[in-house]
Amino acid sequence: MQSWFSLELDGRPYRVEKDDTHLTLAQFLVQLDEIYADFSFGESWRGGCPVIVGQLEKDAPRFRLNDATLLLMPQLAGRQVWTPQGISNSDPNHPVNIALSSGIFESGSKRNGSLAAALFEGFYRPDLRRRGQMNDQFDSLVTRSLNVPSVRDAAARVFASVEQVRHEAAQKAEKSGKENQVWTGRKDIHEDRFSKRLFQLKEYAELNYVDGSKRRFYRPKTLVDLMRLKREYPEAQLIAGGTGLAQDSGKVEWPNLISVEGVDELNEIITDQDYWEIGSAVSLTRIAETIGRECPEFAKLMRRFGSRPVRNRATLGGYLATAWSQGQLSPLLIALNARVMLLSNDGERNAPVSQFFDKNGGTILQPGEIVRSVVIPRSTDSLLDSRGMTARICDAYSTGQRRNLVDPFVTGAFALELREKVVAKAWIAYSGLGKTPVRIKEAEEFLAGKTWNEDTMHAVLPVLHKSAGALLKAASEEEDDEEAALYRKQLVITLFQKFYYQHPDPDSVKPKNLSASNEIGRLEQPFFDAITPLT
Amino acid sequence: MSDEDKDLGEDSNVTPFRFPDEDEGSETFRQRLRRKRMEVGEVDGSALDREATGWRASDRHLVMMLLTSPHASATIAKKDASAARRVEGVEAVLLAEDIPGENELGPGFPGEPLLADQEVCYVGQPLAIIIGEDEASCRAAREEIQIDYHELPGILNLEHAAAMKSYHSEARKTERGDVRAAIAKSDNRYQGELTIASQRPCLEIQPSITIRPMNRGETIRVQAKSLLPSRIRSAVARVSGLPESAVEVESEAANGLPGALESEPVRLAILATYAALKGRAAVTLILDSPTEPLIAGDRHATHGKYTVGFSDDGVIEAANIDLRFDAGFFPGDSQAFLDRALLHCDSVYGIPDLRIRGILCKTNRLTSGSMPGEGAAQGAWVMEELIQRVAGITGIPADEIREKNFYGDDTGVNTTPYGQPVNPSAIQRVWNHAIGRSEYYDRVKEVEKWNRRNPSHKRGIAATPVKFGLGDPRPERNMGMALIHILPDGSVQVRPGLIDLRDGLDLQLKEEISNRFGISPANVRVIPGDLNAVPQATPANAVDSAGLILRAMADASEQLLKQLRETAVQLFAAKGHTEVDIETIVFTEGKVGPESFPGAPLEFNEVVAAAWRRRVNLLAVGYHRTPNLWWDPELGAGWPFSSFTYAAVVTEIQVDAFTGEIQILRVDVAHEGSPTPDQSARDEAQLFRSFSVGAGWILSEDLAEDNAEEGMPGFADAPLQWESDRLRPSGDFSTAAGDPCGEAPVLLAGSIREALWNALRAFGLNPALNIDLPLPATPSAVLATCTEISKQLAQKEKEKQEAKAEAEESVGKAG
Repeated sequence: MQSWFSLELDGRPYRVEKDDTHLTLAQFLVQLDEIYADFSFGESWRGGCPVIVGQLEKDAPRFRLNDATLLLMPQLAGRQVWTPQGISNSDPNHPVNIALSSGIFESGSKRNGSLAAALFEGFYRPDLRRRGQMNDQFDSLVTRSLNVPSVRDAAARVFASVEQVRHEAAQKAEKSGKENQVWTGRKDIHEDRFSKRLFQLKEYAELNYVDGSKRRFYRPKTLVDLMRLKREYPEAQLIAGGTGLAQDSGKVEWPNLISVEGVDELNEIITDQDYWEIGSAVSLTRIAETIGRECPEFAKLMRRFGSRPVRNRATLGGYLATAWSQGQLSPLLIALNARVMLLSNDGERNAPVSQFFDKNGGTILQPGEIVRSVVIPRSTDSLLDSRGMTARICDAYSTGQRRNLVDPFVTGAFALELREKVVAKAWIAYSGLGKTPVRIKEAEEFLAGKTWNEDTMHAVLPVLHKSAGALLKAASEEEDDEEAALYRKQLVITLFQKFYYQHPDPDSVKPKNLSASNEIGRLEQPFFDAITPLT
Repeated sequence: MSDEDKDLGEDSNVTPFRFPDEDEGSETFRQRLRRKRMEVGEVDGSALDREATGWRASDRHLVMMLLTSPHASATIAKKDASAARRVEGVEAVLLAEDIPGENELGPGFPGEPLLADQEVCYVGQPLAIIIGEDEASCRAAREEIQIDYHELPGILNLEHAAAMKSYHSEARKTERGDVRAAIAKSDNRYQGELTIASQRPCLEIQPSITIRPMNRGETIRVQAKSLLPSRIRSAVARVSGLPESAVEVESEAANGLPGALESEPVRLAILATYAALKGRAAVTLILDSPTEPLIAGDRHATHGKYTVGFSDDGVIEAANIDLRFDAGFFPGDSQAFLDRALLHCDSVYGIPDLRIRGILCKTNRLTSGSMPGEGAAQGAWVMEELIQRVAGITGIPADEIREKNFYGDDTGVNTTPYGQPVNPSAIQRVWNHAIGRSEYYDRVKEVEKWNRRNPSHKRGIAATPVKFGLGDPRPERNMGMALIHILPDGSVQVRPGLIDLRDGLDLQLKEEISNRFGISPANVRVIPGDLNAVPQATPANAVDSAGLILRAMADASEQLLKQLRETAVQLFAAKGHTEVDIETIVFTEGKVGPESFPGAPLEFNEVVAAAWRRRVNLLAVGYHRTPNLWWDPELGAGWPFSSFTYAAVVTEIQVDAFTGEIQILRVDVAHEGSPTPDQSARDEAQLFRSFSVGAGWILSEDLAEDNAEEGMPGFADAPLQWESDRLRPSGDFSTAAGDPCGEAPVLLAGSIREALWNALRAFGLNPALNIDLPLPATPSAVLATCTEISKQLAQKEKEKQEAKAEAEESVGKAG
């Protein structure tokens, strides 16, 4: 055991000794120095206290926007942390700092910090290309004192300039055949003081830390070690991304913590011809980066899930194990026919996501058992063909008081497998109707064998209505707000209607562009157009 | 070296991070926090003579917390704090009976007790002050205080207050013509109402207040965040018995207007001063959360009821509007905000016979007027609602109804009902500009086309004008002060008498000063929020504060420029240029000299240095008060504003019929900016922010929900496209409208609601249906409205069929 660990903070190495395993980065910074005083106020619904964490994700070094109130200190061992203060002080001539000093974006220094961190991550993000991704990058900024139009303009300028740099670097790298490294962010194209340090990151060592109160924090490297620790410390709390857990820092006392972050086997996404197997410690952002193109409904839900800092930390394993009743992802995972792979010392077992949650708001996880991975079947044309299907339609919808950082009211996800115009199999799932996400089997059975048209859609609504009514009634012990219950009940119907109106035709699997205001938001417009000759 | 070190690279020089006390390795985080706070508590360092001054040693820093009422209305049968007083670490527990002298908050809080005694009147009303060594012991003691409540039903909303006739005072009104007769004569009449919910500022930080006795108790320093710190100064002085000159207020910067409050911090400072007197030490008041009613700062919920008489072609002939304002149990400043509502209710419409009445309702709540646009928005929105209804009934598009009823030649009315003239051409100008730049009429057609195509997503577009009065109906608040020092090296210090709202005013002042003195901005330092330098600060809300400060600054710099010109003339004369005329001297690029001067001009520094040598006073106090303001509430007449500023906006939204969610697609604003040149960046920033405040109020911030904060719009909720044009206001700097962008744009957000009306018409909403639009239009409320529309439409259809069948039947029978 070691009673210390080290990390890099704003470009300087720090050794943390004996400090509480439960200490969040925000609490640590407030104690550390007056210049971090802003970190004492951070409400997560408002985006918390943003920082940048430099970390290795498999072989790719990445700067990720994180929320300092949602990070426990030992999670940061061996990582690099840049605070907004550090970013602005280290290199005043960095494009991000220059952009921020040339306009009125926000009132208040703290808020400027949130903007600086979000802009900084965007600057180093290799996949940020189109204006439509802007909301995704800045959705943790929740304040009425933000001047959104000028933030958009300034960010577009910064992102365009960095795209240009990337294009130039890619052209240069073409000769050596390493251009792919540029596009995937595995090559340092900036060579500034931030990226140079980032690219020096080495693989993390395992961590066995004990704090002043003899509480332990383990970060094993292998699955074998993880299972051993789990056996040795059955009372220990597993921690994945920690976005849910860290919120309770100071309120709940965990004896020992075991982090799954460092376990190689859990950090992998295996892309097979038929399926993706997503390790339970992979962050939601990485999942969206990998499968988002082929599975746009996943990417779409991601845009409304928490905020960028949350998605950068949260993992699928953590999401499932905590069984968030209003979680947006569970219905989609059900509609995608995903399975959860569980592992314990007794062996492996698996279950469809719809059967992973139990009726009381918990899960089927046994003591000593962990979520190893989630297997999501792909639905390429050839795969559909082999099953005799002609099309698969899938979509998911989430609603909330606002777009981000909110507990959604109801999320619905629907999938249909069609033979010509006839529904062969259907998946209809919701969350937000009770303690667990539900699959409405009656409606699915009703749909099977029917032609997918408006009449069928109307005919299934009473079935949905009845099931939703029963579910909400069962949950009404806790729900005393009649109006809210009525709204949820309505949404069960209307989300399915929306699904029909956006996908009325089996031939057009892509949704008709009804909700996204492409022409107004210029969502597909790239920040930097590669076709224009480089100057 | 271990593996962990190597990870950071061989060259890394690991600095061990340790907290100061190495031996206290077992100290927990919380203990350390506590120790840290004690350390911070050290004040001025001088050891005090406790016997002589009565104040304890300066390292004493106590914490205070409040026990507040969980009930909106209750009588108190029994109070017992004896157990609480025995809790370790507790210095004192004060109940109402322990307050020396009168149990009153004092001026500004008529009728409000310091601590509730026999009854509580709103949730969150303070009942006891707990003073202790740290937060934990205060919390523990608070648990031990026993209060037996006898709960009463209380009055919780406007409807209830109206039914119970629970009012604070007589109604006020402003009136022109004979409304009753005119309505009776009109071809069409309509009676309707609108309820506007409250909104919460959602402070960004946990509020706290510190009262710190200094210099053996001879002075007090107050640390607080407030929109008007001079009110805190007066209150603390009164409670502590010190002269105001002995009280310093260190005012923290606020993130724009919604970042701080005005009267709430005063109440808290009074309570904290009592605690400091009792504990004889510095005291920090800690509140549980920023949403506690004492610091929540909720707006006045408003109920508007109107009767309107209009012609078939949509000309509004007469209107009677009654406003009910939820002023809570203790009205405080509410009357001023109700007055503002009365004064904005006419909006830009010249209605010949118009009566606007307003009354403060007494409810078991606590409300505040610190949010931007308070009062003005409620008034203007009720009028827009009336216009919508007239549009619905006559079938004429709302924008046409608006145009027909503008102040000016069409209506023949050019003054407000209270007698202040408006500028019809300015209304036309912003209106035409917004319509033109947004290609409004083309887009109306496009929206219609879109709505025909899409069963599920309906769009709505609306053009809405706004008139905003610059100033506060309380004339004493319409003044600004600024101090300018010129230092011996020619650099300049400016102290505006206004708290720092972090809105870029300091940058604007910097630029203004550097232009006026012709020096580099690097040589100008603006020190915002240094309010101990001025006797009276300018209120940050409800007046045109930046405009007042800019004018005060102009006054001060003119005084200084005059002095410097005189010095320059003397210097030129000394060089033999006796012909230089003082009037022709200009200040540019660090040089001082007549505009067209053959010889070398003087350096600015040189002139300043000479002025110092000649003992010229280079400190100037600038003062500006808006002239000729008056408002007589008894008469309902006056000239309450320095002028009006005008703006118009075109808003397009999209409603998702399946979820009730609204996306703002595009906003085009034409507004009159501040009269100072080249400061569009600040205006634009302010404009968007204030619009966001309004958008949250109209759309998503539902205080009825537990998680009201989650409705505050985020980045992804912003309009997809935002275009704004800033027009120069008519008139020059000295007479033109001031700085409208901090508050007026809140009113512009009303346009979202107008667009929503239009979108809902595409779902079949028509005046025959008895449907009111909710405010805020949250997703659930909008979906419920859509459902109601289809339900009523189906019902009407059914009735029609039945009537038809019946008619056929009777025809059959007759046959």
